[in-house]
Amino acid sequence: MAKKKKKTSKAGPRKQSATLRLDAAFYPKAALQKAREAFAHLAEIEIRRQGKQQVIKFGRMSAAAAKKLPDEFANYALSCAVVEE
Amino acid sequence: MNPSIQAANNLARIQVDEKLFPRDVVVSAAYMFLDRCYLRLEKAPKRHVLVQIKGKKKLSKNQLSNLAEEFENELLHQLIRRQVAERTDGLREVIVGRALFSAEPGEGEAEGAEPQEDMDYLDDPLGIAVPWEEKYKDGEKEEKDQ
Repeated sequence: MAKKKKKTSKAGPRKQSATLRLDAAFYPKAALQKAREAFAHLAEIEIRRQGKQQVIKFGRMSAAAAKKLPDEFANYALSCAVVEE
Repeated sequence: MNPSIQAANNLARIQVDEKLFPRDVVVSAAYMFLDRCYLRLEKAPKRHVLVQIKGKKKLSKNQLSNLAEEFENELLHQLIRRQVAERTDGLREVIVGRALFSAEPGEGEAEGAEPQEDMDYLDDPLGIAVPWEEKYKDGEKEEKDQ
């Protein structure tokens, strides 16, 4: 019986996770959704509102992506917020 | 608006007073820096906005300090842009209105031009529809004769 191959990318196995908290006053939901679509190929992204904050959970990231992804996500979301204003 | 520099975290933090710089000015200034560094904005007490600037690469304390100062300059720049935009709002509306009005069909006709209401679209008073060969056939013959 053939063994199932583990899902890996060129950057290595996707095991990393991270959480990002952004102020909902500056990062509207629509902007975060756009950012999620843009980065969906790099991680599993879950967005949840928690009081005045938007909590973004990144899962199944490669180690290479984990270093930059939350910061890049925040920058992209901010640019979406400005453009859509 | 004294920036605090945390070189160990590659971070500069600036508290911006929203009474001096409205929120959209802060966001516009942040937008101008998105290609150079990572930015985060969040509300701070006493109507302030906390701007966190993080280098995309490792930066020295001086570089972080310079970045924070550049951000403060950009805040002023965006504030002035906003003020000028507000001041010239009416003028811009007039200019665009005039441009659209003059582009309407029938309004751009030259002064003194006679109305051509009786004309059919098939009429060709200037002979534009006549092929070049037909129009200059006789002329060529004349040139050859000379």
